[in-house]
Amino acid sequence: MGFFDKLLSLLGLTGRKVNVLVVGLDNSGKTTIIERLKPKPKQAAEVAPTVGFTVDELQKGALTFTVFDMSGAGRYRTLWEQYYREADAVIFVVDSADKLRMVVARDEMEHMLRHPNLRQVPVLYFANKKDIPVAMPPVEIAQALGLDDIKDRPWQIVPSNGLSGEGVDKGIDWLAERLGK
Amino acid sequence: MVDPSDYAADGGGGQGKGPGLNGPLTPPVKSVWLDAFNDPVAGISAYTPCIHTCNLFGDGENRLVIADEDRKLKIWKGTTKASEHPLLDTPVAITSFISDNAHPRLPALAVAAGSHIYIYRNLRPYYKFVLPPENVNTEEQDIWQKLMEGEVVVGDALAQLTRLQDAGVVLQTRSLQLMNIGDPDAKMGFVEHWQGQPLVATTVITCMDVIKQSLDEPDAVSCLVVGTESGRVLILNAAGTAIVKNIWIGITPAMIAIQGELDVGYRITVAGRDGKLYHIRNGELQQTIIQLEAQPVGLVRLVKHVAVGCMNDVIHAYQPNGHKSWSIYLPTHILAMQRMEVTGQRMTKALVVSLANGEVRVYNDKLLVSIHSVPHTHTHTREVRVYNDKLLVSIHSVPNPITALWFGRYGREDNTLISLTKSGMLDIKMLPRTANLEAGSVGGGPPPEQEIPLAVPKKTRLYVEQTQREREQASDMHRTFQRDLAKLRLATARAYVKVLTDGQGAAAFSTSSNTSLSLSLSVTGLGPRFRLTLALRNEGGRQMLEVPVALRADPGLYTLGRTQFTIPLLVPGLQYSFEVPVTMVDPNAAPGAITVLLLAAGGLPSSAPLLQATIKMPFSEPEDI
Ligand SMILES: Nc1nc2c(ncn2[C@@H]2O[C@H](COP(=O)(O)OP(=O)(O)OP(=O)(O)O)[C@@H](O)[C@H]2O)c(=O)[nH]1
Ligand SMILES: [Mg+2]
Repeated sequence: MGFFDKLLSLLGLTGRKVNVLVVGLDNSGKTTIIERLKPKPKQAAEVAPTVGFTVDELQKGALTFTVFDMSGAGRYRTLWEQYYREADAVIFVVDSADKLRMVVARDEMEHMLRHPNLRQVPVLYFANKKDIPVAMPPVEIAQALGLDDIKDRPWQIVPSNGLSGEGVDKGIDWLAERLGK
Repeated sequence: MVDPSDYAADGGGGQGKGPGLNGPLTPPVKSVWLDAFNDPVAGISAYTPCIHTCNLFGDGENRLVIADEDRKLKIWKGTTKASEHPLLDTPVAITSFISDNAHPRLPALAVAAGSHIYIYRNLRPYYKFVLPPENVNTEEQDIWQKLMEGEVVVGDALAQLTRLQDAGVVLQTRSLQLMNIGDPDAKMGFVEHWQGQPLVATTVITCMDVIKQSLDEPDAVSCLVVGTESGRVLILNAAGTAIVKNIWIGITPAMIAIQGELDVGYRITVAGRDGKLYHIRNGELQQTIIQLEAQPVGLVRLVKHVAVGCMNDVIHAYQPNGHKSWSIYLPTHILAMQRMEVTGQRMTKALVVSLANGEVRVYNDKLLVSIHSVPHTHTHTREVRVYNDKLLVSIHSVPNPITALWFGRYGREDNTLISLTKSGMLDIKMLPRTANLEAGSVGGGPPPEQEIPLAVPKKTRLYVEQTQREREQASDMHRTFQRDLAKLRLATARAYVKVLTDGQGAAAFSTSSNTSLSLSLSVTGLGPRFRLTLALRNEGGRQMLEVPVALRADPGLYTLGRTQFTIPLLVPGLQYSFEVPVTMVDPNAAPGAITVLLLAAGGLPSSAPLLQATIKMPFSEPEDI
């Protein structure tokens, strides 16, 4: 927590809590990206595949994020919908290099967007692993996922690198701006 | 939850609407698959036994391994070909097994070719297993021994080999090759080539699969099982270095299906080259042998059954005791069959079948749950256009039949279907998590009406009276029924006799709805040479074309000038006459009869004759010399 953030919290200007649901296929880099949002000393060097889900609290400007890091493994994907009702925003992480499973990512995303429990909350797409040479550019991913058809909610796609943290802040800034309104 | 049928309506990728959906299925069964990847020019040529996916490098991302017919091992990672490795021989089958409990698990890749199993680890050649030689006929061995030591000359040795072969001995390839060489010098050279190498019988692998050692888990230690041309099923140890079970079937196994674990209890179903199913239980060949109606083309182990697809377009499912549980009748030939073991929340073991018309179907037990066909290679070249004069009347695309199917984990996706087509296309589909493969999903299953109770009327007085009458006068009713039944049988028998005796006279006529003909036969001459005259008249209003006529007589008694001919045209109202010379073979024999049959005019499907007439022949004068 930076000095400015501390000051804000002391002044009682922070503390608005928002629930952020982080979903996406297994191995897409959800946990890695969330690690990058934590203050440096608290970041874990290695991440293991998530079992079930984990919850973290993060401070971002005037907002306190309660982050639900869901597991993307097939057998745990049924858990996602349990948290749709509370979600104020969704982060959908895509492995840009996993061209083969883009269709599966789209299928899961469509199920989510169609779910009655999910309100018209903003969705942030991370086109993660952009460092891998065969990674698809964000435009192609948007096309493969059919993002242009989403008309009923704000969305944004941001290329990211979960290992270096590149692009992660840019995406979170967009989300914070949406939620701050 | 989202309604799965809802999903199938838009997620099917539109390909489910391919050709072959116009069957009698209402509502049409759609595709359950997601289209992940398609490469029309992947340049792969392989059949179902030669396609496999496994965690080749132990990194959790499964690679696709294809043992191509062009003697190359082709490795695919994701949507691209990663590498290619030459093979020494044409591959027969490919699989992978876990040889020890070491962590992390690294599967060993096994490629069967000829009489060898090449085992790779980390894609590096690791070990080569050689099938043990079979017993050779001792006489044949002796002949070769003497031939190589110069005790007999080639000519004598050949004579002895031929004698052996005539006696029913199956000779070794080396002997057969020697017998086929024409040039004497080349024969000598051939013997010289084998000098000092005793005759051994090598055999080759025909099929290969794996059996779990003691645990039924995806990563548990497993052993290779192979079928050999010499009619054996061999089970290797987990290391793949030695045979632990050698089961003699006597017939070459064409396909095998394995259930259970080696140390706990197992069954191996073997589809033999002789079109029979054999069963092995815990290493013992069982008595139950199932004779199939046609040669098997696919063998797949399901939960309680083993499904066998035959060349007559039927899939039968047998229980381990040999009882047949169900059959699926398909519209065209089966090209490939594969087990579809769905992992996830539901553990379904379904069956994928590819057909000659390009369709791929998924059956859960008997129930058809999905149909799709892969896109065509080049739309413009795989199209058939039907023209009538200059008018284009139809375009249909030639199906792109799938020759190899694999279902399993690929990349990081568990339920992936990989198909190869004749044209070398690679197609990858994935089963969505919410796909419904259960009864009553997309089409099929009992119709919803079945759940609605019928509006059964209340018991009326009439109903009650009828029931009472049935109870009281049961014996009378039974008797009446029996009498009517006997009457029906009598009427049938009479009609039958009439059919048999009709047409026994020398003249006959028929007046059916659309043909009306009369035929009369007469015989002239004193014998032994007669002339049979057929007087024929079309009494109907329409001309008849191409009417076949057949004549029948005891060939020991009469020689007919012609036994059949075709009347090109019968104009209504005209009297036609045809003459057939008849010679009596033995003038002193008692005379017989000649029957003339008029068959249905050309093209009509009926096989019943239109008309039949028989003439009794007169006694013959003795042949004057
Ligand atoms: N090259 C590269 N690797 C990444 C990147 N982000 C994450 N990874 C790696 O991808 C792997 C999976 O990352 P995780 O964060 O565990 O993925 P996850 O989405 O949380 O997976 P589940 O918890 O199983 O759903 C790890 O080995 C990460 O190091 C990236 O931007 N580039
Ligand atoms: Mg995780």
